[in-house]
Amino acid sequence: MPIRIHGFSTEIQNSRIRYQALVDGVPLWIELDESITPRSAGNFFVGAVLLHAMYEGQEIHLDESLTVSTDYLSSIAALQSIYCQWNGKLKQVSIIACEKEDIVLNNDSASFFSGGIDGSYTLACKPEINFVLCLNSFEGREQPDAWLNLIRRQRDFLANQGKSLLHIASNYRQLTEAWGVSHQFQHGIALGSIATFLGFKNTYIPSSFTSDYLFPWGSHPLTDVLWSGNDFRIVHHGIDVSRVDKTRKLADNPELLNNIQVCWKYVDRNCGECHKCVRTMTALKFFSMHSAALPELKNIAHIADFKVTSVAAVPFVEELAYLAEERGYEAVARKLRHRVRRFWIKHHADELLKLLVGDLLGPVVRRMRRNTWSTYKVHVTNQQK
Amino acid sequence: MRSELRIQQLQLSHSNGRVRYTVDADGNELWFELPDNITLRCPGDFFVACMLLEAMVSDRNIRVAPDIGISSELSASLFELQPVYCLWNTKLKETKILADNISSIGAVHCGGVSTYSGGIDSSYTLARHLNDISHVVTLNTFEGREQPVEYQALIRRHSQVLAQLNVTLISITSNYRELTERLRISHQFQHGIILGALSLLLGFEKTFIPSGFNATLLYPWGSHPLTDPLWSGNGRNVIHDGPITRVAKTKYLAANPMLLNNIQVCWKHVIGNCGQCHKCLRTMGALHFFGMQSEALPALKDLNLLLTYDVKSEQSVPFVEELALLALNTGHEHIAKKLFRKIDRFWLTFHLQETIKALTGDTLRKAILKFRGQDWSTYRVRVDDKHPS
Repeated sequence: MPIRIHGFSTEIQNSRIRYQALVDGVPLWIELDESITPRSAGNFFVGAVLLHAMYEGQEIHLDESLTVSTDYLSSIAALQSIYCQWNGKLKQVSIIACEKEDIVLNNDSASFFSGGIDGSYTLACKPEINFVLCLNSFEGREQPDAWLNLIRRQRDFLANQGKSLLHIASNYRQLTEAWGVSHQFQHGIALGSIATFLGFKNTYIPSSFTSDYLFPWGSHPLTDVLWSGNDFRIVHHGIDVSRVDKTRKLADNPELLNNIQVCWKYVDRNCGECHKCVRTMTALKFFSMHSAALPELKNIAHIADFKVTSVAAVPFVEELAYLAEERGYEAVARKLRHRVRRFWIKHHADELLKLLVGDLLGPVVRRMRRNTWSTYKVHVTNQQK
Repeated sequence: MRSELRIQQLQLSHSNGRVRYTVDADGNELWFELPDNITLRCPGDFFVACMLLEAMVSDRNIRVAPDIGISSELSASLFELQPVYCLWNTKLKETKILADNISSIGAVHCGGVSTYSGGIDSSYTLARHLNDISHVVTLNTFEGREQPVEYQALIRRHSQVLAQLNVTLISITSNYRELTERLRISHQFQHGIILGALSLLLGFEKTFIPSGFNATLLYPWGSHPLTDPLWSGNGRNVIHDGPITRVAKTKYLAANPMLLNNIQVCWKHVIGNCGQCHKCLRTMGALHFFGMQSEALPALKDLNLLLTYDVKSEQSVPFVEELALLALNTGHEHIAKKLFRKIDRFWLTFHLQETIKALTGDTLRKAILKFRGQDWSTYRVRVDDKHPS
């Protein structure tokens, strides 16, 4: 049985337009400023259901009211082959839809942006970016009021920089999470599909990781560029610069630096206490920089409390340790490296145990720790065995 | 002021339809040689690429003598590539190319070129892009380095086979590897720079660099899907082709029997496949599971031969894993199970060693590597060499 995307409709309210369709009867929508003329809306809807369909091995059928760009279908074909390599449980699926030879309608450049270091760095490097895309399905999902505050603040800030903020809202994440699709995987497809839907000449996706440290992940330098079409480019930006060097680069752009939003706790301000705030404050301290968006780090010893909890967090702590050493804070560097070492000991010991007992305890431990990701059916990697 | 690494005294010599370009590179003789009917863009680009890592590790700029032309496209590519290399290896410093004879040159050959060794990766790329590829390049600095006579025989064989596909083989020889190895620069790093530099040297509109790995496991490595395209520019496109599994590539070759029958995968012989080494067995295993046959390899008589295989490194895991999955999907569960067990055993050793490394701060591991005589551990420039953690 194919997955059906049908009942497409649009609705305009308060200068915003909502594109809605039903996925096997369940509403899926995306909403943006009415002033934007996008390309085929089917691009967005296919992207939202792709992983679910690949996991179930079901074709995706769109009814005639929804077109899909021809170049988007080529991208999807190339991307599916990589996704199947990453996750052995996925199967390549066909998309049955009316194709349209879309052209680029917006000759501008756009970048996804949340106010974080990566997005701010991309804006600082690429002054030609005149549209900034803010998507509600990341930080904004759980605190919608605070998210709208942030959007208002960012809109004013960006207007002063000569840029327009494009607020994009969607309920795709509710659906994909209900299907058991991890957002660590889905987010890359969402960004790519939205970019091909909006159809700017250049769309930048700020990179979170560096080229020495690449693993399957939703937004990835190999896959992001594959969303590009004949007359538009999707660029995975900043892969060759570490997070601390991105922070340093912001010294040249005090407005962006004073606007950073990095917090894990709050959506519209920085708590100054969570690990991500402290990590950023530490880098600023080492570079003798100051951001109005964050308090100054009073006690450097705080950063030794860092807990390295995942492999993905290692490079950030390592680069901070190196910076600490470079700036003469040897004791801090030692402590940070000690944290990394402790993490690796635990990590390898866990892996050893898993190999010996066959991950019998893993699901129990993860459930006890309430790791929601462990309940997903579609992860970025999941080699069949 | 920063000291300089000098590239100077260009000399050309012709012999037997081939031309050799020789320079003095930091006091060392460095040369490359190719058929004299091939138009080149800028010979200097290749020499700079050979010396790049040496300059970066010794924190020197590269000074190129005025009689040696380099292209502005080389500088543009190195501007993008060096930050990546510095990220991979924190001992490296960005270098400047100082030259008076710089020109901007686009593509000088229409169509496409690919590197080719006869292996599965390059055969797949050639088969897939046969309509685009008019030439292939072979380099003596990989398999051919230690058995030059056999290598020449291989080149002759490849030329004949490829001629039937209307593809011209360009055999390039060079002594760069002797020099870079003497300078203790790992070829795991250097080879990617050389392949990129070939795209500049030859100047085809499209240069295909066949990928050696799939998209799951990406780590710093000379030829890499993120760095290879950075050698593109001014009408030249460099494509890192086919980051898919080796077994999928093998299957694809079923559609091109001529290339399938010409495969050269052996770790033991430069020409001809022994049918016994792990790489031969791995390829024979894939052919067997797909029900395919290549004249270049004997048929796999006993599937248990696939189990003589030991997984020795992280890099070899995907190759065994994809073979195990293929075995599983073609109804050879018992072989699949045993291959997966081998992978598990590798990971057990790996995590045990890594735990010890984390506990002892890597001192013990370095001593073991030296004791085992693992060559790569003694290199001065490795592809992945970060600040100690």
